[in-house]
Amino acid sequence: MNQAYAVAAVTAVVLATVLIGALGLRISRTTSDFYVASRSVKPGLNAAAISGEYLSAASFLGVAGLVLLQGPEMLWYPVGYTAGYLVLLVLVAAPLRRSGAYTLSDFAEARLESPQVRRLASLFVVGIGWLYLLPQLQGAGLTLEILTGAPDWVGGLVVALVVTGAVAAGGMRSITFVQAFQYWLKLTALLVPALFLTVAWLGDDAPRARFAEPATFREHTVVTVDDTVRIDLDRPLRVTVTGTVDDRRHDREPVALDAGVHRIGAGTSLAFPAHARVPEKAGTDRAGASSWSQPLASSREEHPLYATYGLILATFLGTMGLPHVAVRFYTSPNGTAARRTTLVVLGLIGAFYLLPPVYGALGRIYAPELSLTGEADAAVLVLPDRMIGGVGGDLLGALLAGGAFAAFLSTASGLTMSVAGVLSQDVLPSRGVRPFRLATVLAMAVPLGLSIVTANVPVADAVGLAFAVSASSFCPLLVLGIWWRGLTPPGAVAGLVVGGGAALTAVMATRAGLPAGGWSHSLLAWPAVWSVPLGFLTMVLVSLATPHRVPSTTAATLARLHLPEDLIARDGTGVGGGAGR
Amino acid sequence: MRSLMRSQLRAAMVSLGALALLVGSLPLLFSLPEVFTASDLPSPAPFVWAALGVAVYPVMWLIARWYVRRAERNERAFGKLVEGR
Amino acid sequence: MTGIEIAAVAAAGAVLLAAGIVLGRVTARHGRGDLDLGTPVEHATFHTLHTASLAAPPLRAGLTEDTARKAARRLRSLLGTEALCLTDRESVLAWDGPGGDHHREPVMRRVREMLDSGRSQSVRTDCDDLQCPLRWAVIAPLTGEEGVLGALVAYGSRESAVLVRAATEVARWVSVQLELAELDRSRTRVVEAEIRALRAQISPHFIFNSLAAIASFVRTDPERARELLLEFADFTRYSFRRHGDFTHLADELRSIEQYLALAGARFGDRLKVTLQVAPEVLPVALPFLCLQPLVENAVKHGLEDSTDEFKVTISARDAGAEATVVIEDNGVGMDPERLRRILAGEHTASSGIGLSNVDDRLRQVYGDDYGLVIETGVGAGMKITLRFPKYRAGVHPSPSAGQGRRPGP
Repeated sequence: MNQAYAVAAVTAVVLATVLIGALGLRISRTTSDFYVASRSVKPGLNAAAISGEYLSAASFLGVAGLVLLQGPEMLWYPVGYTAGYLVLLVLVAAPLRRSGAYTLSDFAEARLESPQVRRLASLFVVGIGWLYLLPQLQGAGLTLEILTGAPDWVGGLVVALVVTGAVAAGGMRSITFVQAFQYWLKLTALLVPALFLTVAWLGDDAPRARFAEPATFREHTVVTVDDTVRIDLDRPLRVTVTGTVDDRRHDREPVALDAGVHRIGAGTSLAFPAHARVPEKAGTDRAGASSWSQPLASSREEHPLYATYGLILATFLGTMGLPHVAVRFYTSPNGTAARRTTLVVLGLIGAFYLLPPVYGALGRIYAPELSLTGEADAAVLVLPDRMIGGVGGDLLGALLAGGAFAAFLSTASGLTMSVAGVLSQDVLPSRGVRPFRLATVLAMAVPLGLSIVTANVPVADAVGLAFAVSASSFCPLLVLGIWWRGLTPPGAVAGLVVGGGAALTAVMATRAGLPAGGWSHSLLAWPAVWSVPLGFLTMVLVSLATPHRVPSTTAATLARLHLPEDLIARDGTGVGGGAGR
Repeated sequence: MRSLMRSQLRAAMVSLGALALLVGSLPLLFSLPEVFTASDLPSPAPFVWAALGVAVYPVMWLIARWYVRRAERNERAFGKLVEGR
Repeated sequence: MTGIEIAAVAAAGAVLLAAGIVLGRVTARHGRGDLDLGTPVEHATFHTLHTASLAAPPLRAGLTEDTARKAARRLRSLLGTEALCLTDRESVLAWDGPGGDHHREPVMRRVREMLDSGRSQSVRTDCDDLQCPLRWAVIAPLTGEEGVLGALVAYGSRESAVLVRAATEVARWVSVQLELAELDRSRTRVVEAEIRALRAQISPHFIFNSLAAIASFVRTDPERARELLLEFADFTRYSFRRHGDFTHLADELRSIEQYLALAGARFGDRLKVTLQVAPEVLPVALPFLCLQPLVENAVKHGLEDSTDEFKVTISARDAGAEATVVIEDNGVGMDPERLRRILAGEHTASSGIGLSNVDDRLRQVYGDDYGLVIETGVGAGMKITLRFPKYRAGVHPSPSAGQGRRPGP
């Protein structure tokens, strides 16, 4: 595709982001405008900002990539991301706002009045933030690689620099406007090409995407494999090879490959004839990093129902604990507005998630080789060129590239600000403006380093890790903190450590490829089913075992969380102080 | 105040229950092949696409809207109760 | 009738009488023990408590003639004495019952004797009037925070230990009510002191000038005058809220807006204000009246000390876990030395109070890192930077119930 357009689009997005961030303040020059300027953020605007920040690379690219690989079962990811907000609305939204907390560590302190819980919560916020930030940077790297052929660490570096610079230099003065703009940009960027692609698909006699059987190449396609891949052919195949197959070097020779497993060397190009079947990847390769690039989702074949429920629990319950979600509620003026804002958010992200499946299905038809190269996430970017081509394809591709970058930038900046805020307040020693800048650099540096060092993971999967840890640690803390009087600081600490720690360990073990298969692998790959109840149980039991540590102000705090604000105003302390209404 | 907490918790549980029932039961539904052989479809795929790709979102939004209305109504009723003291 | 028959009838009658008496006694005892309606003891208790509860409210307002009059009647029925009076240290406040005319003087003499000892006394009245039923008096002290406030004097027709005991107990109970009354008063005093301190900050000159400016519009532009009056009302209502509260940044900005509307009416075009707000920081909680006095300070000095155009810029920014507010003006500025002295607490002029007060309060609530940061120089204007953490334990804004209203169309 045409690099110039794409680079121009990306640059435009970056510039717009920085500009709006710097200038997007409400400015009034006359006193009569003050009322307008100091009016609270309307639910609609805040909802657009929340949605913009929430829709990350996983939503923009990852979902389509997974659908291409695995079919419609992968749609549980976006459904989960959306349902997570419903669970948050129902259990957490208004009380969290009324607690006055900005970050989740603030909430821990507000509810339990314990500095130890606060510090532990901060550590988890930072950890989850980094887990979520890592795939954003990798996705950016992938995008730039597709667009410009740059090495995949360049994209991540660009995003990191832009975000760190903007945030640390104090340029992100108005998050709300920036993120709201990003939402509408992303929606447009995904919608417009989708329309064109659908028209092109219809014009092509609307071939059906088949997921029950292997995909086939529509036309003669040349596939270049970056890393070593083992493929499994179920029938003989004739391809023209330039590179290494089964340790034998060929140079543009037609080779007949028998059924069975073959090893394709890195950098090899294979030219497939039209209507050839796309070879499947053979199992998981222990020798090397290719297990990393296996989508976790492929392992669900063994216990699909368990894996699906693991995913459902992780995403449904994990949204509330994500760092960049909680802080956005602070902008709402009161609990009622927080609830209404969340309702609008549900509408906005639901509308957005109607689109990635379209790309996934089309990708299966028109770009099936992406399953071989391990770059399924690029499906969205690659399709306009494949299906439409020419200038139109280039322009649409550029639009999509811009939208993808908007996704990285918005989520990365939101995450960086939240993590930096927590770092500067709770982890780094001194106060003042300087630690915040240092914290921003630190917040970005660790994921950036990791993104360069580790191989690419499918974005949606990596994001799923963060969800699982969040669901096992912060979900019990929030739900029990808001609805149960008996929560104690030791209980909270125990629950966070056991639940969150268990999920984290399970996830790390899976990534390292430890258990080979069977139930042990599935259990560790999708820990939410057992780690979430474990977290809840631990918190409840330890709290019941330490009843003397229930904070003395629990009744007053709970009153503040649940009572509508105007009641408190009218009655002073009368309503909350009255026991046992 | 406990009465307000109870009524809000009840509204929350009903919403979650609806979510679990309507959405959370889908994996079970999808894994039942009998459902689909009966309806004469070659594969469950179209149903899965329709359900997960489109249908769940309006359903979830409607549950959410019901909840918001309910929660606000609870708060208003509680306010009147307190005021009338 | 034969004698035997008479004897038999008499015996039967006696037996019946005895049976009747026994029966009557038994049922009467049961009737008395009927739990539904209560024993006489219980009845008496109810009656006592009821009367006591009725006597309490007047005394909560303190010991005055008015309250004593209202209470004395009930206290007398509580004790069941012939007469009762309440006195303070100087004179009789209220007298209930007969004999008030000729007993007032003597009783005060006795009360004054009692004031020193502070103990109940039981004395003979030595009344000359033979019709007067008041023969014995029990004088019980009423004590408050600062000692004996007065006395409760109960009169009976004869000496009675029960009366002494009962009167002392009632007097003790009345004393409790009076102590509570003092507590109420002292709380009010504290609030009044705060309001007075507050008023010192809201300059009377400002009030006078604003009203004068409003008055000047009444005839020429009555709509504007009405607007300004409403702004003024809102402004003063906000300003007289209790000092220790917290409020939202949005509310504080609204108060500044109202102030500027009023100041702008007076100064017209000479005052130029710019507001830059990042909407995310509007819900931040901050101590009440932290920003408005600074703006008022700036405007007062800028406009009253010079005749050039005066520009004030107020900006509120989002800085991660904090909110940053900057108030900048292009007025005459201040000597940094003088500023340092003001912030150290040595008020030189009336203007100093605002700055050092806000600085003190910020440090008190948030810690020493969060004081005012001021850059200024003579003739170089002034720039004040304030930082507020978005969340701080213990800082909860009191919601403004219906604060502010929409300005006109």
